[in-house]
Amino acid sequence: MRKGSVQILLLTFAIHAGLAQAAATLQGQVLDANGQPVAQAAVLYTRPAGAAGASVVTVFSDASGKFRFPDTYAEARRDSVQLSTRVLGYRLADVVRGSKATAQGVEALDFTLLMAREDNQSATAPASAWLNRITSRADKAAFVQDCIDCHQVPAIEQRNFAAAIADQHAADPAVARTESWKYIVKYMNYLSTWEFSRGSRSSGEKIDANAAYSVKNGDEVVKLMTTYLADRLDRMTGYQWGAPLLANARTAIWEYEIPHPNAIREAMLLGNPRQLWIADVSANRMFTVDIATGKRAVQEVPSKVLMSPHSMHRDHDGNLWVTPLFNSVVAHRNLGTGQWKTWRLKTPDGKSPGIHDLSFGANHELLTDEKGRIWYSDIGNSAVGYFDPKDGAARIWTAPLSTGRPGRIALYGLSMTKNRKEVWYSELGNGTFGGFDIDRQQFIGPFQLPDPNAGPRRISIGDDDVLYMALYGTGQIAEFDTKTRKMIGIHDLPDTGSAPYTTTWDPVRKVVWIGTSNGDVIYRFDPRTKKCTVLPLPRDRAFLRMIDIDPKTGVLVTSYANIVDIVQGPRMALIIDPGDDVYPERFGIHGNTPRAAVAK
Amino acid sequence: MSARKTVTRRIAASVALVAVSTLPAPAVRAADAAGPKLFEDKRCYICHEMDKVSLGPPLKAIAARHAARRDVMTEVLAHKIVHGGGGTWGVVPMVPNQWVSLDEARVLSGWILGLK
Repeated sequence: MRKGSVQILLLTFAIHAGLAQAAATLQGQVLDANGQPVAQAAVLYTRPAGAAGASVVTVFSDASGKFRFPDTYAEARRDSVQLSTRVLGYRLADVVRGSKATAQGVEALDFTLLMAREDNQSATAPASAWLNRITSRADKAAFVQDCIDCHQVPAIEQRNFAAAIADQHAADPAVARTESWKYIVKYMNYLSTWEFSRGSRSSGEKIDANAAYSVKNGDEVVKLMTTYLADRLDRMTGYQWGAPLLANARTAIWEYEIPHPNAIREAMLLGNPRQLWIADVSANRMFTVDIATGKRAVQEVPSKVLMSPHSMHRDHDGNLWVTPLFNSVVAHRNLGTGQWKTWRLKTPDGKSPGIHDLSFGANHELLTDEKGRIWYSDIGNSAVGYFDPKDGAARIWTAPLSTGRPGRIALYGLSMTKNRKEVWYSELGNGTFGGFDIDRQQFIGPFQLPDPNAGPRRISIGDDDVLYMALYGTGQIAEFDTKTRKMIGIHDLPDTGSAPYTTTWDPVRKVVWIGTSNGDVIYRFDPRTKKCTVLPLPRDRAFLRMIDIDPKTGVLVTSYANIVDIVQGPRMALIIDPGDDVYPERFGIHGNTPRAAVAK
Repeated sequence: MSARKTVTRRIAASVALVAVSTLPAPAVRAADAAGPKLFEDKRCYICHEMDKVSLGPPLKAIAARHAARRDVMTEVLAHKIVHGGGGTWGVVPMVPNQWVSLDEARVLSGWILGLK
């Protein structure tokens, strides 16, 4: 090929590349009414339906109020770009729009966001802000345990309902409140029973709408609601995040929406090219989303019985393991070959494990024991057990009872020590945790947390075999040394009503990420200083479950798990770049950049 | 009616109203076939039964109360199904139903108000 042809070819390529990106950049400044910068303000770009890539992109302003969105946007036009903000104590009053063409043919869109003070934080404060009215920590923990399994409280739906109760102008408002919340508790009981019996009831089988279900102490819930949530719940003042924000000008959040009727449970970034894998607990189904194009596809999990993808795990080879809500089905997807393999577990004595978590190691990857067996927490039988992927053999050991703490056990999270000889578990229902010695087939402990409603949920283990437990009920993080079997400390999170659901040890940053169900935030806990920083999420009802960390870029991957299909709230998977440039590569929607290149 | 009375008492009174209703039977509408299916699919039965008090008022009691203004109430009730609200039957408001469209709600309200 002659030199001229090559040049023409390159030119053609350049034009095509230019056309593909014939687009705009988005930047600007956030100012208050006095023209002073508003720092660390979340600025959301909600993209039109069908735009390639994420549904919503969020960035944060720097100390001078300036912000800049990553990438370029083909659909962005100066007068139609939809920007919004989420800042405690402010509302967006006006947007001044400008634009100029740049040398590269890319239009630079510039927005000045004018913020007005807003004393009423009801549109920006999380549900936990209201929950903090309950001053008794024990009462609050019990309330969180009863209600926030499935949804935030009081989310906008409950707050609207509180207003509807008030609007009735009943002669005796106290009776109206009690009766109304009583019926809501009953209604919620029905819905959760409907949801969690899907895997076992036959088609057409009715549930008795008048029976009592999971919230056994419904009267206590009603009492707390009528006592502490007695007004219209439409005014919130003085709420603060409780710790410094970690957001900076390089922090970015990409949200991908998967609309109702799916019920997103968890999400991970996997494969090459990278896709978001999203578990839909409402069917034997997962979704994949191409993060660059936004293209969605359905991935059926091949199972004859309803398994309902529930928890997700990444293994060292970057393949996917999925555990079920129902029927003991574990699924494995080889990302390279695209093949599924499934196992339906049964123990020799005929028990069906209710698998919750597989054994996580310190890199938040699936870790097997020395024999290649995969360990799991069994919420159905209050047990820990293994299954061998080579032959499907399964066995469980029932956990010892927690003295003086009767009732629900709910054996929940699971982690494996570095030497692969112990697994450690949490018990959500009774504030207990413990270990299991794999070689000796003996339990270690159990150990009790001070509050029976502490509710350790998902747990993770650090490089040094320290166990980090999110205490859902009490709004704390516990650090326990599995080597010395001593508690290092139990620390209040910045908001103790935030219902921390999960901990994820970050093997590169050497910190713990804590996802909350009720606080619309992710906390970053530093074990060296015992201090937290806060990453506020872009929207309310950001009901989080597991957080995964992409091993190359360190972006956090999670989802709004508004699970029960009748529960409202956003249904999205999201990717978060904290903006600290610690990992070997910097994340990009269209491809990562080696950090060395970024530094240049 | 005094708002001080409990919701149960008020619903009981409405059920009595059904019993003495002598209104002529409304014409059968196309919606009548789709109504029961939506009632099942959207799980309205959690709170409502045909002629018994559940969490909400019985369907036949609703029909009886609004029979005289059936046309306008079809629209009013459709909005109430979607957006919730209260004050009609006692002290417990109805929850909104985000996953019921207004058109589906119209089918439901048309069917309910045609019950006898």
